[in-house]
Amino acid sequence: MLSYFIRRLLYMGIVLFLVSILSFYIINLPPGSWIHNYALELEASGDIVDEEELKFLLHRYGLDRPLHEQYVHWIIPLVTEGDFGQSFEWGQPVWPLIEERLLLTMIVSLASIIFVYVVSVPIALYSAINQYSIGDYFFSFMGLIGLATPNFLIALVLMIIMLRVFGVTPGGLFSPEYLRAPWSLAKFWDMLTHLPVPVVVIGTAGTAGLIRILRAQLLDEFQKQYVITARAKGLRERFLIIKYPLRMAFNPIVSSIGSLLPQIVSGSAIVSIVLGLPTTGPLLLRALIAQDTYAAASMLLMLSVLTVVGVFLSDLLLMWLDPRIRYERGN
Amino acid sequence: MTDLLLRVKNIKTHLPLEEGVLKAVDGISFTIRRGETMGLVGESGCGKSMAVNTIMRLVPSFAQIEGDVAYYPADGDPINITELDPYGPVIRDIRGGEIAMIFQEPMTSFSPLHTIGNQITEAIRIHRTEDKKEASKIAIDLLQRVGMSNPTQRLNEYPHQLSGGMRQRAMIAMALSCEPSLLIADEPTTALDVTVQAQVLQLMRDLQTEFGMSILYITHDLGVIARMVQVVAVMYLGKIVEFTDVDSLFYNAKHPYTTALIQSIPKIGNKSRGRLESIPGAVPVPINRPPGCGFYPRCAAAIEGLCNRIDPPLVQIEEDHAVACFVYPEVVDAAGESTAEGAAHAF
Repeated sequence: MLSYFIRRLLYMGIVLFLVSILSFYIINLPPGSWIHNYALELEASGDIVDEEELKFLLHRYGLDRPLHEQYVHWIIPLVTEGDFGQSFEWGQPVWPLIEERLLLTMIVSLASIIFVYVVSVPIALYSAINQYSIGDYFFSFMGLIGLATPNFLIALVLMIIMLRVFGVTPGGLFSPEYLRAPWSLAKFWDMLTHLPVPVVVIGTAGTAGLIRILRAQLLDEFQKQYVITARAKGLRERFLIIKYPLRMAFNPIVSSIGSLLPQIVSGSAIVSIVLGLPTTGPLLLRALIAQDTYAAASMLLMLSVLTVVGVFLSDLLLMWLDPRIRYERGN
Repeated sequence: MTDLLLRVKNIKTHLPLEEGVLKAVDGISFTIRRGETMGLVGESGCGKSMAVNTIMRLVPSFAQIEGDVAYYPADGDPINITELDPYGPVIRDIRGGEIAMIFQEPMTSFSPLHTIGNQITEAIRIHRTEDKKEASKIAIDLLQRVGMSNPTQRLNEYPHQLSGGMRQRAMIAMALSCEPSLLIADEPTTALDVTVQAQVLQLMRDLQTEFGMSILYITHDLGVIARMVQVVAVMYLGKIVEFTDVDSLFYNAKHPYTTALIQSIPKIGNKSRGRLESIPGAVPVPINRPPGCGFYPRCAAAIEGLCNRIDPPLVQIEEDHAVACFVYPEVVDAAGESTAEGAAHAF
């Protein structure tokens, strides 16, 4: 068991190392650099940037050096000192820039995942037990609408409803007075009141998808011999469904928890922009467009860390849930 | 206390499908007495599993059930199982407690996510005792009796840690855990290899003497029948075509289907040059079936104009020996009477 942990940690390190190289490389694939973009912007506004100044800037930021040197220049302080480097675009260190946003991204994602599970498990159970009933068709219909409607559209509609009906200022995760305030219980509570809209918007598609998957999975499990065996023992129907098929149906879903995070992060970028959420999505998008290498690569790396840890956690959960996997891994 | 344990009267299990109504069980009747061992034989797809699942009310909810299944408890009035709510408390008490089942596939009959002990004590805690410790004690004792080594340790093991034979032993222990009056064994040894088959059959025989329950064997294996049962019902296409004791099944079979089945048993001593006997054709799917005897298309003794028009009823032609075939004049007479009766009713 211990050797399994150590092996997994080692693999995680290797994966993150490869991710850091790959993301650094891909960010730098488009021609030019942040300096060139900057120069173009200046030119567009009428300023003239001379060659000498461009060269000086390129040299100063180390952008005239070969890519692998730039990579080493970024990764070594990161690993040894936890220094993520400077952002060109914002002109400040990367870490304080993304620190809070990473935390908020995690909070929004976690809340969305919880929302997805809390809503979809009972609905899927109902739909599977009452297959082809009116309720089943209703939930299927709603689910397909949820799946097919673009998230940002749901976001806009919800924002209008929140404003017109409840008088809540839409957008953002905080009321204006808490925006720059340090963390406190009051600020946390304020955030909780702002969470429902983004969570519903981000979670809708996932909920609709999970209902379909879980329903199919449950219907499949209902046919299995062990369910009939349990019924032949005289178990109560409701009890046996929760004890046997539901637990079996959970396996593939638990194994996909880890990959939910990047899905939510990348899928929610547009929603975050529409809703004005201070998550990493919009920041990452801007950094990528501006070719702000260090900021973009650092954010991608941190999201990868979260994903890898998430996958690891879901694997542990799976081992706890399924003795066959425990047995296999344990040996 | 009556000698009778189960009386199945003219049960029909019809499954309405898109292609038509599948008549999986089409009017079968039999009785099982206390301590008796009965066999239900037939090819795959003849409806034998569906028949016992009807007795246990384990058929899909869209199946249409007709007829009576009267269960006679040791004390109290008989219960008509076909009239019960399939999810209600009465049938739940009968399942596992009065009638227990052993299934064909020991690999899939247990949940892979729960320990053997959890799955066995669960049944005990429903029907016998609420006390966890006592339930484990009963389970350990049973595992020992079915010949499992280290029963205490087995309780905490998962199905995938046991071999097929061991799993089937655990299954038997689970079925016997609540001391049922009737044990239904649906192809209990089909998925096991031959030496293990012999062990399991021997075990079941010993346990029957010990517990004194009735057993209903569902099988297509005539070897199991010869070894284990007293009376046999031969099923074909959802109907019982012959009903007799085990000796006359092998030495005095009446129905052409039964004789063909017996002839298809490979015999020791025959040269390997000779091909194995088989019944030509296959069991038809019982959807939108033409009138007449179900075996007519495959039957060597079929009487043209009779067998393809009227379905022969099951008629007793010797003591404790009933057959549904027009080769026997008694059956023709009985069919004539019932059609005459039917005609009389029509007027």
